[in-house]
Formats: sequence, C-alpha cells, structure tokens
Amino acid sequence: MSTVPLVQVEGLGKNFGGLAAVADLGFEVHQGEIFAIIGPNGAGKTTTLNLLSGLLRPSTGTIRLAGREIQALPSFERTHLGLGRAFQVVQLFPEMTVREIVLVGALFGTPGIARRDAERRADRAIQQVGLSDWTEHPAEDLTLMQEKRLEIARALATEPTVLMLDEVMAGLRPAEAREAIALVRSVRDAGVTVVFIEHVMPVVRDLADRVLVMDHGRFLAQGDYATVTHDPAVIQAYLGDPTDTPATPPPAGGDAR
Amino acid sequence: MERWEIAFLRNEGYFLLYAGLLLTTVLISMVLRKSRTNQAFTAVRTNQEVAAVMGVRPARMKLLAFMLSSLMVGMLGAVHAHRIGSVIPEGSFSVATTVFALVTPIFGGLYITLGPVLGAGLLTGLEEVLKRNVSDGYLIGYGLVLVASILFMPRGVVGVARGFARRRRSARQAEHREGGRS
Repeated sequence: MSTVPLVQVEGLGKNFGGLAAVADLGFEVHQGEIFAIIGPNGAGKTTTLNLLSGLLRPSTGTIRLAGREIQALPSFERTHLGLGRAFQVVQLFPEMTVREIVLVGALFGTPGIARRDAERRADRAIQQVGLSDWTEHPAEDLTLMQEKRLEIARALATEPTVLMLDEVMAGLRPAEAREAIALVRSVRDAGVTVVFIEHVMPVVRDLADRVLVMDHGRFLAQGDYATVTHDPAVIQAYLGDPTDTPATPPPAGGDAR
Repeated sequence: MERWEIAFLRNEGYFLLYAGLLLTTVLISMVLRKSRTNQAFTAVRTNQEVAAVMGVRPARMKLLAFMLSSLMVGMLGAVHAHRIGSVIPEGSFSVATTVFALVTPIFGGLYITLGPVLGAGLLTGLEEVLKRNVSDGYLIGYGLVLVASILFMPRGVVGVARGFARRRRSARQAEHREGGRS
C-alpha cells in the first residue's frame, strides 16, 4: 500500500438536472483489496459504479486508475486499461454459447490480441469460474448462479486489474450466495482487486476488507465492516426511520424530490 | 425459343455480373460471420453500453456496419444503373424499396447469411406469381403474406426450418430414452 492507490476518486459528483445523485465523493481502493460500496436505496451506489465504468460522465471530480486520470475516457478505453465490470444479469444473446460470450470479452478487452490468445484467455476465465462443463451450452440453459459465473467470466476475460461487481448476490439462495462469495474470493486471490456494490449485509461482512457507506449521494463512513456498522451515522441512515422518508434531513433550501 | 429464354440470352452478361455480385456479397457476409467483427456487431446490437464495457468501440462498429452494407448495395447500384440506363431518385428512395430492403432479411431470417438470400428469392418469386395471377391489387396479397409471415414466423424462414430440425432432434432423443427404458 506504499504505492499509489489503484483507484483514487476525488470530489466526484453527478447531477441529473437539479438532482445531485452523487456529490463530493472521495475514496481510494488499494491493490488486492475487496472493497464494498453500500448504502440505503437511492444512496448513489449504482451511479457511482456507472461513473467508474464510464457509462456516465461525472459532472465534477476526478477518477484515477493506477495514477492516471480516466474520468474523461469512454468505457472501452477504461476496459482496455484494466477496469472490468460484471453486470447484475447476463446481457448478451441467449442463443450464444458460454464460450462465445466469454470470447467477446477476451477478444475486445485487449486491443490487437491474437485470436488464439483470446481463446486461451476465454477458456481460462471459464475454468476460473467453474463453467468448464458448460462451454458449448447456450446461455439460456444456465441457472441463475451459473449466469452470474458467466457474467464474471466474461468480465475476467478482459483481464482486469480491478473488477467491479454490481450486486452479484441479487436473487441468489443462501447456498448459492456462499458459492458466489467463494468465487469472488478466488478472483481476488488470483490477483484481481474487487470493488462491489451490495445490499445483502452478511455478504458484505464476509467478503469486504473495507466498506464505503454512502447516503444521499455522499460519503457517510468508511472502514472495516465492524467499524462502519457501529458508526452512529450509518445506523441512523439505515435504521433512523422505519418508513421510506429520508433518514437524514435534506439540506436547507433543498426540496425533497 | 420461349420469351424468357431470349430475355435471358440477351441479358446473359448482366446475369453473370449480378450472379458474381450476389456471390461476392454472400462471401463478404460469410467471412464477416467468422470474424471477431461479427461478435462486436452482436454485442453492440444487443446492448451498446455492455459492449463498450467489454472493450468494443460502439461508434466504430456502427460506422463499419454502415460502410459494409453501403458497399454491397453500392456495387449492385452501379451495375443496375448501367443496365437500366437511368437513375430515378423517386424509385431508388421510394417507400416500397425501403420496405423491401427491411422486410427481405426479416422474412428470410435475421443475422444469418442464408436469411436475406432466401428472403429475396422467395419474396421476388411470390411477387411475380401474384403479379401474373392477380394483376390488379396483387400488392394487397403481397402485403397479407408479409404481415402473416412476420406475425407467425418472427425468426423468418430460416428460423422455422431450424425449429423443425430442433423438434425432430429432441423427438429422436425422446425415442432413444423410451427405448432405453423398455
């Protein structure tokens, strides 16, 4: 951790019209970490992930990957630089086979890669997530857990240094969630830094080295799981009000949307 | 000699030229399908944002797709203009031409080389038969066939053929299982 942080976010903000979905957000992710971003619904987790992967352009602030500013780059260039992302659901042709889908990531994740290298890389990613017996099956034959494995394999095939995961546990049964946790750990042990957003708290507890808590688009707390879950501000944000009203009062002058 | 035979002989040069163009187009399509570009096209078509996160350059791929399809139609247009001896914007850019260009691959089967070839052959044949038999209002019959085909075979002729093949295969597998049990 003596070197520059792998991901460094400073003053990050995103406005949709007059609404600040993310405001003045800053955090750092270090090499080899599993880093969780959590927060109540509407806290801006997904927006943050989209800003990191380039699906949205930030209104303010900088994002650095290994010291290099990337906030103005399009998604594909960030992918080429080693920023990978897996989505909640598999997003490609259901008729394509597992191997074909992962191969897309391998072929385009690194510009100018030879086809044979890409195929080898795809097979390695498929093996890494444990789908080797399914390579020739169409994606529509897979179970939900297998689809998540496929989605991670596809992201891994782009050879990321940082892998971002978007609520991978959504919809999984407890036994499957344990499988998914083991899978994410194995990805990290293979040398990939992991950033994930999640709302299933036990998963965050089991998986995350450090946790960033967001609320209303802003930084609320950061630290290991025990520290942030004992932070009064976090407890208030999550439990302050059992109804759906904002847990913290809106800033003066701002109207609640 | 029949009239069509004379017509064929008189146009033999053009026939060969058209056949060559068809072959070239089919070859381009087949080569493309084998290439990584095909996967990039599929990714961009399905979800542009996901494609970009996977490292595909969406704008570049769309431009490439536009250029390649323009190339193929452009080659044909050059020959066609020579044969007809005139180019009429009202004809080339008419709604009917646009609709035909869209309907042909849908009718035949999308995203597969054979689809548009089959579609063009069958639809042109159908149009000629209808023209000959229902001289007035053949377009209505033509339209009905198109509507029915889009409603009942959304994956086109190729899709229907594949469905048959798949069903026969699974039926055979079921038979095998039955046989194994008894």
